[in-house]
This record gives sequence, structure tokens and C-alpha cells, in this order.
Amino acid sequence: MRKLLAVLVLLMAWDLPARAQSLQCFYQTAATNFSNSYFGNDVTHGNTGLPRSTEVNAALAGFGRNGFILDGPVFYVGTECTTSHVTFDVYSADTYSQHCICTGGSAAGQGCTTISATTGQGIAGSCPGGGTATLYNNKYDVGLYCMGGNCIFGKLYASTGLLDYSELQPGIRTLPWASAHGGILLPVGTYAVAMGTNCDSGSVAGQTGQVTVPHSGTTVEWYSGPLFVNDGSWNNTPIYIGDPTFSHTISSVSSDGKSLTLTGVISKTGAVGYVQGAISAKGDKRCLQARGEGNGYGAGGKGSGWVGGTQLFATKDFVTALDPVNSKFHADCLLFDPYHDNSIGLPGESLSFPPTLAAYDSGGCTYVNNARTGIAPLTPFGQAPHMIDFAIW
Amino acid sequence: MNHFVKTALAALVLITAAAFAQSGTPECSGSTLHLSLATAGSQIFSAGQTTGHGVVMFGLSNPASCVTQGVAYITWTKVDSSTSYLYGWALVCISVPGCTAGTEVARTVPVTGATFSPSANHSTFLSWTSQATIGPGIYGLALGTTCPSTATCTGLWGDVTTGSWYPFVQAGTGTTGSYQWTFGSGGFNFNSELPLTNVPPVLGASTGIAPPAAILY
Repeated sequence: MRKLLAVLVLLMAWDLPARAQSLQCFYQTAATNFSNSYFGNDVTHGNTGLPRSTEVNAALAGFGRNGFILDGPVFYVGTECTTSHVTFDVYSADTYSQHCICTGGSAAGQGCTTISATTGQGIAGSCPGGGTATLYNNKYDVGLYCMGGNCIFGKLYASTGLLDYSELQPGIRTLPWASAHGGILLPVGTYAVAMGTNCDSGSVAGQTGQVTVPHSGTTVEWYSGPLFVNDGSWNNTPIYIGDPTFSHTISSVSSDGKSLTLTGVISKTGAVGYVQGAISAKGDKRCLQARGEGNGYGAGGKGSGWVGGTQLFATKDFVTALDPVNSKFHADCLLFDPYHDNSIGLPGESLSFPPTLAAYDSGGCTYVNNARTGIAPLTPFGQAPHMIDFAIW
Repeated sequence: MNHFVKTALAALVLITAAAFAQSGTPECSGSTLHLSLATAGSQIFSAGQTTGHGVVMFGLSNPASCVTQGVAYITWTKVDSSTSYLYGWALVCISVPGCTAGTEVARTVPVTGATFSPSANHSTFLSWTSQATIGPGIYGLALGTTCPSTATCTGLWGDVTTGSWYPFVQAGTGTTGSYQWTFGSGGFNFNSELPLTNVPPVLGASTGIAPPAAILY
């Protein structure tokens, strides 16, 4: 028995050095940094979420919703490791820098109505129903969510915490995870990088967000409650028709069995106005951009080689849900800065899951509900979105 | 046989089983153990140029234990296919649990350009002197040459300035400085001067050295 114990002791001693030294993580979420893309929320990229009125928090309807993005492919941690930092390459800074939110009054939490005609930036102006127009610096946040494996699904394992726009100037940016205390242990599993911003929150207008009136030939999608106008000439940017500065008349109505198409004239008080949110592939460029993959499948190929912009690894998942009825994305599942006051970043592990403060679930949120039972897209499905290359180490 | 002995025997069986399981360690995969995947950039490797005195080391992260047989790479449009100068690779522990930093876990025999780069625009490979089982961690893949900058030295296709992230990219500094690494017929000598661990990642060829599109297999 003594010999047996001696063997055991020797074997355990042999194994000790390997356990004593923690394995340092080093993962990256893209193959190259050849391109650049938006560093922020789905509204920033294209305000096409168009949630039904029954799906949204009324206080947030029609304004920057601050949904955030699970960016790039999930990466697989094959061996438990410790991470302390995230590094990425900022391509262009946030030129909005601030957004304007009404505090107090009947429109608390909504965007100010006065926007710079030259920059599109929200400025302290009037607030519907009273209240005080308050300017907030734009914030960003990056985190790691477990998407499967031995880690806890949906748990936020690491986060930078709220980052002021001014911290994210062009160039390579290395940031410590908040409260890392020497490193955060990542169990074996798959992880997704989440990023959020309130860059276009409230009254910030997207680039080319200027509209002229009157306008006609409007298509209206009407489900119930307030109407949202989805006009092609306005780049499919939803207009909250409940806005008292808009008026409309309906000249004809048709239906495809799923939704109504109303044709008529819509007009807005005054000669020029700004739409809320941003325009796909345009407004996002005024918020923060960072480098990663881009240029579509196979673009930039050099002979039989791979140059660098193929987006081969790309997926990008907006935290919104696909409506099975009309194939439009509707519900907002998780929100960044839901109170529009920079008090909450990414949903943290201290919150219950689904997080109660930074998210709301209207019942169709893929990542909040379905993915918990194992449904999470791991590969591209018909698209090759731009994506940011994060180095996690 | 008392309970303790039974427990000890059970533990021994488990450990033995684990040891046997390690013998089934998978081959290293090129999809995960690569430097650069891009081939838009290139770098001529020579002694005395950006590679210091013929040695440059590229950080590489291995996520799980695997067995490696060698390294594969793609030659550039200009190559040294002569027998005048030597080239070689080595794999070195940098931050690997259970492996002392600086330990050379795999190396190729120094070969001449005729073997290292027999033709241009060609994918080729060199085997390690013996296969190596490498655990998870950060490694340095070192490339060495005796080819002087005054000669036609071999170039390799690889990364572009905006390429991949690397744990580090570090050239040897010759006979002075912090990284006095050498390479010759006897292989590499790192003189116990290796890159610091846990350094911020670097972005591909922005370091001035385009990492080659090399993979471990």
C-alpha cells in the first residue's frame, strides 16, 4: 500500500506545476483587420427594427433603442484560460460625441427635439411635454457572453464597463476587463463578443437623416396602436406618426393578408426635419468604427490566395427577433443604456438572466429565450456582415 | 482491502486512463494553429535586415493539446534556392503551463535554400526533427536564416499591415539589445532572452515584419 501511495504522490506532484501556472487566453474574432465596421447597436446601423407598439416600452418607442450587437463568430475556448484585456483597432472616432435626452416632464427618457442642422448632433433643446434637455456623453461597452459549453449560457463573463467616447480615439486600443483582478477565468465553451452604444440615442439624427416635406406615396405598416411609416425615399427609417409635427391623409388601402398598405400624403410641420436614429450603412459611420473583416465573400482575392477581406468567419447577430409572420425584425431583447442616462451598460452577471433592468423580453427574443434551449446560430446564414476583430487575451 | 486503498486504486486507474487518453492526442490543425491566413503581404527574411541577425519570432496561441509534425508555408516570388545559406524553424514555449519559457519544443534541421524554398510561389513544408505534443498556451514560432541582406534571400507570402492579431512579433536584435538571438548550423540560440509574457497583442505587419502564412500541422 505504501508503494501505491508513493506512486500517487509522485503522480500528483508531477501534475502540480502544470496546474500552478494559469493558461493565458488569446483569441481573435476575425481573420483580418482589412475593413472597418460600426461599433455599436442595431439602431445605429439601420433603424429597421420597427418593433410593434405592443412589443416596446412606450417610453422608448420611436427613439434610439440601444439594442446591442453580438459581433462576429463565437470563439471556442478549448482549454480553460484567464483573460484580462480586450484589444481592438479603432478606425474612426465617434463624431457625435453626445446625445440629448429629456429628463423629467411627460417625455422623460426621450430624445430632445432640437438637433444641429449642420452636424446632426443632438443639442440641448426643447422637450415635448416639458422636462429638461440634458446632454450625455456617448458611451460604449464591450463584453463576453457565454454561448454554450461548460460556461453558463447567457452569463456576462467579462465587460469593459462604460467607456466614454473620448477614450476610443483611432488606433489600437487595449482595455482591461472591469473588475478583472488579475484575470477572469473562462471555462471551456463558446463565447460571443457583445458591444453596445448609445451613440445615436434620442435625438441624434443619422447621416442624411434630413427629410423634406411634403411627401406622398407613403407606405404605412400598421399592426395596432400608433402607426409607423416605412417610406422608401426616407431610407426605410421609421417615423413615429404619433409625432404631433406630422400629419397625414389616407387615399387608398390595400392588404396582402398580412399587413395593410396605406397610400396617402404625409407632411411635417416646417420645411426640414430630422428622422430619429440612423440610416443603414450611413449613420453608423458617424459613431465609432473599428477594424475587422469586410468587403463581402471572396472580395479582394489575390490569385488563389486569401488577401484579407473575405468575411469568411463573419456572423453578426442583432439582439432582435425575427417575426415569423412577415419576416421582419421586431422585438428588442436586450438594451444598452435603457434609461438613456448612462447608468447601465451591458447586462451584468449580477443581474438575473434575462436581465431585468437592461432588457425586456416581449416573447420573441431569440437570444433571451430560444437560445437557452440550444438554438444559437453559429455560422453565417445568407449574409456576410462586416465585423470587428477583437483580440481577447 | 480497506476503503482508502480502494479509493487510491480507483484514483490510480483514473490517472492511468487519463495517461492513455493523452496518447490519443489529436494532430494539430492548421485552421487553429496558424500565424497569418492572408497572403497579400510578403516579407523577405534575411540576416541583418528587419529580422535582426537572421531570427524573428511570431507569437502563436495553441488552444488545446495536439501533436505537431512540422510547419508549412508559402514561398514568395523571389526565393533563395541555392545551397549557400541556411534556414530553419523552431517552436518555443513562451507562456505555457508546465513548460519553462524558452524551452524549444520542436525544431527543424537547418536546411539550405534549395530545401527550404526550392521554387517561387509554392507551398512547402519542413518536418520537425521529431513530432511534438504541445499543450495549450502561447508559443513563439521562430524563423532563422544565415542569408545576408546583400544576397537574394527567400521571401514568404503572409500578412498585410491590417492583418491578424498576434500575441507578439519580435525580431532578434543581433549582438546588442534585449533579444540577442542567433541562428546557424547548430540551430537557434535564444540566450535566455525571450519576449515578455502577457504583452499586448500586435496587429500583423504593423510591426514592420509581415508574419508569414505559416501553419503547424
